[in-house]
Amino acid sequence: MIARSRRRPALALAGLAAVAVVAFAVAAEPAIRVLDAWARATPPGAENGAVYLKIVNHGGADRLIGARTKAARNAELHASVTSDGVVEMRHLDALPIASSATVELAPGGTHVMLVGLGAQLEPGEHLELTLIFAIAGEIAVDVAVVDPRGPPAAAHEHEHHAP
Amino acid sequence: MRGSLVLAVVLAAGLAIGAGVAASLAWRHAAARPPEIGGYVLPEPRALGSFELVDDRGARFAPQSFAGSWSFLYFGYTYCPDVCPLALVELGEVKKRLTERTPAAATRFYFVSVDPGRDTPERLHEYVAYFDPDFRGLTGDLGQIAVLANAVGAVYFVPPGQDEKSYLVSHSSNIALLDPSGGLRAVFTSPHVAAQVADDFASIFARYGGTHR
Repeated sequence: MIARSRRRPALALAGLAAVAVVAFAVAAEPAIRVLDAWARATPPGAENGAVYLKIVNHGGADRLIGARTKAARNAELHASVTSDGVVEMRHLDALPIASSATVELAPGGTHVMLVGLGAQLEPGEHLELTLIFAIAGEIAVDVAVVDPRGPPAAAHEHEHHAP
Repeated sequence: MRGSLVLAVVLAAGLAIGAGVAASLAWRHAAARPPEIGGYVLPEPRALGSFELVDDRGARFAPQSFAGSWSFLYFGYTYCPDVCPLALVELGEVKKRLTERTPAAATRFYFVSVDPGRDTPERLHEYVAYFDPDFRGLTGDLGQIAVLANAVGAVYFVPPGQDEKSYLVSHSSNIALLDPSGGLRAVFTSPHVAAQVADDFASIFARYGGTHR
C-alpha cells in the first residue's frame, strides 16, 4: 500500500517530464520570425504600396526570395538606394538573411513593394502577406495598415484647438 | 621716458585700429556668408527661366506663379511607393512646424511630377491632397518640367529595361527652396528630417526674409 503510493508520484513526474519534452519540441521557436509588419496607408488611386517588417533569424543563413499577397498584383523585393542625391529603386532577386541576424525592412530602404493594389490601403486594415524563404519556406505575415501622417487622434486634437 | 610713453600710446592706438579693422572685416565676411544648413544656400536667388506647367487643379502655372511665397519643391511621382510618401509626410511636418516657427513667412509646398505620362492633374491632386490639403502638384509637358528641374538642379530618368506600364523612375531626393521673388534660394539635401529642415528654413528666413516683404 505504502510502496504503491510512493511509486505514483515518481510515475507522475516521469509523465510530466515526457509531456514537457513533447511540448518543448512542438513550441520550439522556428528559425525565422517576422515581426512588426506594417504597410503605409495609400492615397486614393495609388497603384503601389510598400510593406516594412523585421526578420529575426535564430537559425542558419537563409534568403528571402519572394513574396505574394492577394492585396496586389505583385509583391516584389525592392531597395531604395540614395546615392549622390538621386534615389533609385533596385529590384532584389533575393535578400540575404545571415545566421542569427535581424534584418529590418524600413522606409527609405529595403521594402516589399506592392505593385498594382486592388484597393486603397486604409489605416486600421490588415492584409495577409506570404514571405518566401529559400530554406525556411513560406511564412504568412499579418500586415497592419498604418497612416503615414501619424495617428488620427493627433489630427483631431489639432482641429479641436483651432478657433 | 616721455618719448617711450608717446611710442606706447601710438602703438596702442595702432593696435586698436588694426583690431577694429580686422573685426569689421570679419563681421562683413560673416554677414555675407549664407547660413549653414543641411544642404546649400545661394548667396543670391537665381531666376528659373521660362516654362509653362499645369497645377493639380488643371490651371496653367508659369514661373511667376511662384512669386509671393517661399516655395518648397520636391520632385517625385505618384507610383513611387517608398521615398515619395516619406518625403511628403516629412514636408507636412515641416509645414506644421513652420506655422509656429516662422508665422510671418508665407510658404507653399509643391510636388513636381517627374512622370507626367501617368501623373495627370487629377491623379496628382488626389495624391498630394492626401498628405496635406494645401499641398500643390505640378505636372505638364516633359520638356517644360525639365526646364524647372534644370533650374533647381533636379535630375530624373527612367532606368532602361522596365515594363511599359509599371516602370519606376529614379529621381533627385533633394528639396529646392524658392524665395518670394520666385528664384532658387536653397537646396535641402537628403535625408530630410522635418525638425532640421524647419530650423534651416528659419535661419534662411531670418537672414533673407526681410528683403521681400
